[in-house]
Amino acid sequence: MSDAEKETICADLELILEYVDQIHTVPTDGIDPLVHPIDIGHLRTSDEPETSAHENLNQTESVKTAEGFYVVPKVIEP
Amino acid sequence: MSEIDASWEAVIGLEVHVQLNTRTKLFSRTLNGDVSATPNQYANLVDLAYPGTLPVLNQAALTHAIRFGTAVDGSIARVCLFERKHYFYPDLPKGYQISQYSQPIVGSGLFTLWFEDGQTKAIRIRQAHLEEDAGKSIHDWLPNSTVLDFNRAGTPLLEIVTEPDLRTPLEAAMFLRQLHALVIWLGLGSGNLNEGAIRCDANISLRPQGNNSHGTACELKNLNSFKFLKNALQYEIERQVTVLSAGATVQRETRSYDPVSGSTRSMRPKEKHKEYRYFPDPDLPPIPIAERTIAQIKSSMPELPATVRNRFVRDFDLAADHAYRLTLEKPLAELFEATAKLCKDPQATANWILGEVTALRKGKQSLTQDIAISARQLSQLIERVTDGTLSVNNGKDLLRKLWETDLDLDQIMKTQDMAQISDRDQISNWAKRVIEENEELIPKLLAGEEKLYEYFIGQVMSLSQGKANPQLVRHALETLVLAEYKHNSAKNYD
Amino acid sequence: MDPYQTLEQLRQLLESKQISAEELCRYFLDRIAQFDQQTNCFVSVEPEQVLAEARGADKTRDQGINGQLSGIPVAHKDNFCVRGQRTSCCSNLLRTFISPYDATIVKNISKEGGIYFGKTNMDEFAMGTSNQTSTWGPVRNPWDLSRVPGGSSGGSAAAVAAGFVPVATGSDTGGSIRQPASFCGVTGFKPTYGRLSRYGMIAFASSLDQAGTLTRTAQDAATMFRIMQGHDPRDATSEASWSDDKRVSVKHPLTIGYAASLLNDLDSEIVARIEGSRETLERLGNKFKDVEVFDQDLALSSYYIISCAEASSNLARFDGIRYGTRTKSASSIQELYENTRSQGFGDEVKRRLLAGTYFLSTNSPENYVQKAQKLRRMVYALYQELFQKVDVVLAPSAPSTAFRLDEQLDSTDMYRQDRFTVPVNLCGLPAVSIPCGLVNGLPIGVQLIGPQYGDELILDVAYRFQSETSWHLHRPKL
Repeated sequence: MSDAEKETICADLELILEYVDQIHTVPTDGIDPLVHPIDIGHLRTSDEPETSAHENLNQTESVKTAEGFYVVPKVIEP
Repeated sequence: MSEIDASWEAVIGLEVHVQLNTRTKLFSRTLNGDVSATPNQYANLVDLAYPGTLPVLNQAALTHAIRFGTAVDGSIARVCLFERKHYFYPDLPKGYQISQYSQPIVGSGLFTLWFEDGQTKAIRIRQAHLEEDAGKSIHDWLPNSTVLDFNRAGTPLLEIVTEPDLRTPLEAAMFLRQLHALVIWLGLGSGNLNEGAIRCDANISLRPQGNNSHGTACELKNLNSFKFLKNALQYEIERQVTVLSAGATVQRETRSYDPVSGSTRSMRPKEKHKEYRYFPDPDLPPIPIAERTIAQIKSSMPELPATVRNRFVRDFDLAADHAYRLTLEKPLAELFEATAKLCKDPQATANWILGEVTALRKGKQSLTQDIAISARQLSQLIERVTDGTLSVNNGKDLLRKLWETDLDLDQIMKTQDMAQISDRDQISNWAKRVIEENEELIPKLLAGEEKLYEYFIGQVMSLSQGKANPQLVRHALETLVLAEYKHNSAKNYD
Repeated sequence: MDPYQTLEQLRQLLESKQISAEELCRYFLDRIAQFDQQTNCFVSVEPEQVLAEARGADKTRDQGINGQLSGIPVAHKDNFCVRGQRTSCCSNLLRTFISPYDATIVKNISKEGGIYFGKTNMDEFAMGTSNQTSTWGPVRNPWDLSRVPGGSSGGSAAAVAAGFVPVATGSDTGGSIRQPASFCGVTGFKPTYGRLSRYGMIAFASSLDQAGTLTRTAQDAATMFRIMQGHDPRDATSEASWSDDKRVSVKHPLTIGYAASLLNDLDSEIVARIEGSRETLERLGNKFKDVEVFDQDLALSSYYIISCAEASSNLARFDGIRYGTRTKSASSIQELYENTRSQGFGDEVKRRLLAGTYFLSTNSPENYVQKAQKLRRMVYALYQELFQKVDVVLAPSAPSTAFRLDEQLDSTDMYRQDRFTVPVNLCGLPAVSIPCGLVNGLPIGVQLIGPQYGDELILDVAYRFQSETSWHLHRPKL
């Protein structure tokens, strides 16, 4: 991002933060956070493999592969 | 720590990642754990984090985790909650790892560490949680690139974290060994250390002996064998003692171990609170775990190694180290128990299993290597050796043959003509012949050169083509020599 | 041939062989070719593929095999994966992404013979309320080409309004179906969270996203809903099959909740249309009851924090390594990430990802996300209580009619477009926006909000409303 871009985005973010900061004025002691809108979540699956044909997934030009591996610039090990 | 200043005490905690051997991955229905696969063969749309794909929990992985928790008497969470742990690394397809942070599936438990002398020590388990494995980055396959294989991405991991209750490198290595044994015993994973199916990190700090403070800990990464763990900790203790003795301070950092040089080196400073931006995964609503489910899993648990060990000591009067070694692997313990009951000779059974049977399995890589002999066969063999029908050496040969073929024990004995000769007259005749042929040696024998007996026994054995019962041979020889001696003495008094 | 026919009308035409599927599709394709240059509703249409599929539908019809949508064109918002088709989410980052699989709802529609007609334009990654953030350029409202169609399902709403297709799918995270439906004068239905699978719908904010439809009528919405709905074993948040008993049964007349306070800062003309729809519903025999709703700005703030936080996480996968458009200039892995993402994402997406990352970081002075989720619980509790007293709630869909493309709204004003719609997403409720009048020649809609699993109930009310009114029959002039 260019500096100008960063500046605009920062200004926008400040405006947004100012707006959302009003939530901190609401007392919420003893209230459980609601992560999911509906009370389901009983879903899990059995340990059965799915037999699907291996797709040719490396379709786009910009994705780099070699002999089945995905290739990225060298990662320097820390 | 013998040469090291005994005024320091090491405080060690382990984090062990166990790959679970479910058929499919933690959140996708791709085959899990096929190490012979070609690159990315078992990486489906979910594993590769294709846009729009979603995770669905594999029930079997959850059951595995609860089984482990039950085995270490840990508390089992009543809700299974997954959170996202964010970081960027090319082998992490989603840009986050689905893990458990605020509510691990297994809470505090206890692991009873056994020593060979029968002493035990309780090591507290802080927690065990489920998470997905990342893919593999390979840095040396291409010169200027890193290549990625996502076959491993999504493999279920159980990360087991201990409290810092371990005090010596040996304790730590024994803990890992016994944890490894438990994982296999419970059927949770292959435990194959070479393939990274169990991976261990260690936190270690030093403190003055008798002091309850905590020093600055270093984290040692990827200690993937019992020996590496022990050696790395040993090196690290020496290093930290040197640092502390010089009045300097140990840096909080992550270190790696080089098995070739046997030393550790700094990788990076460890940040106190790394920013992972954890939050509950909105794709995986919390799953309630019913009491009934936990009770069912509890009732389906096998008898645990520690229980079996105690029983072996109590019921079969085994030495603690024998009981320990027999209970490192379930098939071994089962073979022992069944055999001992059949032949009613627990000590001989233990000796045979820890000796010959174990030797036969050695050289083969995996600890889960099948045992190719039944309790019935082994008990018959032990009985034959005990009653003298079979020599110990022939017994060993026979075991090898039983191991490699499907033949019946008696059948092999017959075709191989292995039965031991215990006919005393026959043996006595052979002994007489050997004594006559070696008359010049008798005085030496009489003068107390005991070693010569071996030579005489060997001669008799060779006459019998190896089939004479060696104990009877020795007995016959001794009787004859004694008779000779008496005869000579009588003559001298004449 | 009238392009503004309902699914039922088209089905009859096809069944009685007054028209073949091929002719029908050719007709709509011609219409798109003729007018879509003005509106830019579609980001991809493959006429040859469409016609081939249509011929296939004609053939199966001759063999007596008929799906409920056999031969009928259906367009998909560009965030639904369609096998073999470009699925770009209207983002530069996915410009070249060809999906190798079908989203579950796409599959469900094609199983019933629906003809895949192309991808509709949208705000990039569904983040926006004006359809101006698309990498393929903005959509123009068929009612007035100088105006926006609303967003983020702007392409779908405008395509139905323009008579390009009888039905299009959409997605609604904070109002992205209902607000454009209001701006374009069509029926926009957002079902209860979990009743339509999210598998294959590229995620914006997982706990808020829900697929839905833009149609001419509530009846068409109900038809599409029956076809698209159902438990999906690939989506752990999809409605489990055993929740059938949770369904709210359809009945009439109803007690309808009405929050007069919501109308306070609205234009009087818009208030008049909403009051008018209230009268219509009363005339149908329903009773009204005044209710209080949650503070809009607080709900909106909570929504904003949660949606940005989830988005920053969901979009972390776009690194250009396994799919998508990778930067051409990356000599290190760090550059690969930075350049791919900064070249791939537009400004609005960047803004929200940065905000979301900040909200999730423990360095932020307060734990924004947890606080927002507590407020979410409060909104949820309020609606639960509310639905003890009333059967459904009537509320505005949007605070204005379609605004002009060149109108400069700052970020927060733009976000406040969603203030009537976000509480529904926070609570996972079903809601439908239906046309309720014209203001200065532009359509405006009104929302019917139901309790969870009250999908069929609100569609029934909407159907009765549309049987009594003709606002949904008005058409723009192209």
